[in-house]
Amino acid sequence: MKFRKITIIFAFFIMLLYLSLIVSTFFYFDIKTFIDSIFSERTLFSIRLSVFSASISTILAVIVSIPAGYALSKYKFFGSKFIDIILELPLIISPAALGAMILIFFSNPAGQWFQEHITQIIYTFWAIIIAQFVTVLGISTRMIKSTIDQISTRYEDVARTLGASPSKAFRTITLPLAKKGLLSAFVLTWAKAFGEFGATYTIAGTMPMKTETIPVSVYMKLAGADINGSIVMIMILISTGISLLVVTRLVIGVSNI
Amino acid sequence: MLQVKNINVSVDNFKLKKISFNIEDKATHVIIGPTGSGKTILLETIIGFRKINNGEIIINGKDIKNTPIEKRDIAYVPQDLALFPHLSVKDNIYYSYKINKNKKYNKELPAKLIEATGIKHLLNRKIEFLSGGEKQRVALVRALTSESKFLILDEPFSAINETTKNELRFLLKKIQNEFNLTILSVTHDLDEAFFLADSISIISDGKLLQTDKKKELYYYPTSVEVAQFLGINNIFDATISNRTESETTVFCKDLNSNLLIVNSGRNLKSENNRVKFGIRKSEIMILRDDLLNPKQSNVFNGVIELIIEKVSFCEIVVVPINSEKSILIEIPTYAFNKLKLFVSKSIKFTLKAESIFLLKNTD
Repeated sequence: MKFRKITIIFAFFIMLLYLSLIVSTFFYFDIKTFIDSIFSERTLFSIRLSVFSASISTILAVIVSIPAGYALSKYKFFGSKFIDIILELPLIISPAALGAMILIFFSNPAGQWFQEHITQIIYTFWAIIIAQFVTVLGISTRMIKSTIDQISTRYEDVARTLGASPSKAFRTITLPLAKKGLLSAFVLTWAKAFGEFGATYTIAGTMPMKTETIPVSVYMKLAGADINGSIVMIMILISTGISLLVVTRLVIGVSNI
Repeated sequence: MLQVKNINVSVDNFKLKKISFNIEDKATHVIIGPTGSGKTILLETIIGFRKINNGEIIINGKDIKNTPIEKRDIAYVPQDLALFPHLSVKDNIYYSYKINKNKKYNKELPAKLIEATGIKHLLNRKIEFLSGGEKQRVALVRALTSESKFLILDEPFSAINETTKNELRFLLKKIQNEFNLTILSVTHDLDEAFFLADSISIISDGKLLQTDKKKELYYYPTSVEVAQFLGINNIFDATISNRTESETTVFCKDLNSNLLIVNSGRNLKSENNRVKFGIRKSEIMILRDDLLNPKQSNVFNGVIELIIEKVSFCEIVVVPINSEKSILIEIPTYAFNKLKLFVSKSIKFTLKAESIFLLKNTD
């Protein structure tokens, strides 16, 4: 068998694996239960909570990632290599462990003081935001850094000779040139935040109508033997994820996401 | 006027060492040197992209080494041009106007530059749809709309065809005269350097080998390295045997003969009278037997070893009698045909006394 054919078979294996997982959910699919479940107040709350929290944590992550990614891409400074390694932390540490670390952080005297005097974090909406933010910050910075890496520094150099300050050169040259990459970073970060489970479960808990995001809802419904209910949530996650990727490719024209 | 005084720059393991030169107002200074010699680093240091370890960069009497790039008032066209791909030609040209809204610009300048470079029809085009020559013109106009009178060009015409290259060289000269520009350019193309320059610096391995007016550099390179960079192959060891105010006589062991040199006015100091001398291949004349002048100096007999025919001239490798070292002679093709030269033919040739220049012996 030719090498080309062997490699294509492996590619199809990946597609079949995921398609079979998706198709298998239809085994328990019941249209009436599906409609009842998707329009239930609890499901609608989970959707609203997930969309809202993912949007806030993504905006916060991107606000931090743009300057940080720029600095890591353009400047040589003490500690930059260490920061670069730290960015991988959310990828190599399990989300549950990351959540546990946040929980421990808010259990120490400083964290306790913060919760007593500023606002309660653990088992609240803010816990979801922090869990998602911490989980997606690394990946968002990594994506924005690689976007900026691809833009020649020469553009900003020339802008400087034309009278632009460093920040003006960044705003008028690098930012517009990075537009597509930033948009794709935003979409992927949002999708990652939207599907975040481990850290959210650990520090925000599983309280219906309070901290029940869609991934948490999948877990809760499955734990309660409500397979139809969990299928509804899984389908929302899959359809949102796939739609985002397709729309991003079609509208933004980014093919590498 | 730009003065670069004793600047030292370190970039990783590479160092620019004690670079100094001046550029008069409205003049063009060209820096030439082989790839990796530090030409671009030198330009980038003057523009402000790199910090200097010590030394001074003075423009119109003011040391700008600590001045931010945007306040140095230097127009710059990089080798890759770096036209902003997300902006139209017009927006590229008016970039400096748009970002410095409080600055009072001469509103007629862009129109004049657009007119002078003939790019009016390109204004609404996207950068990706321009040819190499068009991009060069746009980059030049964009740089000059900043109203700087000091223009830095990095290998300006390296990526364009010969015809467009010549057009752009003329255009640059025209714009320089029209807008009173002082230009500093970098190139590895000798023809380009001698076309554009009033003065030239040769740089190699981070060191400045020679800075001079164009003609001085051409006729009187001071070191073997410079001579070789200028394409001079005929370089020989010699000992000064006699020196008067107007002439120097040297004995060349390689040619086993004395040679007469008309002094250039640049007296080369040599402690032990050991020097080197060089002569361009085009300054050596093959003599016709029927037209020999008995008073002609520096006449040698030799045998043709090799003939290299080129489009408009021929290079002839000749081994002088009683010598092991060969000499390269260049003659126009029509002269080559008339003289009926062939390999192994014996000829007479002369090294023009006015065209020989002495070089430092650094061996």
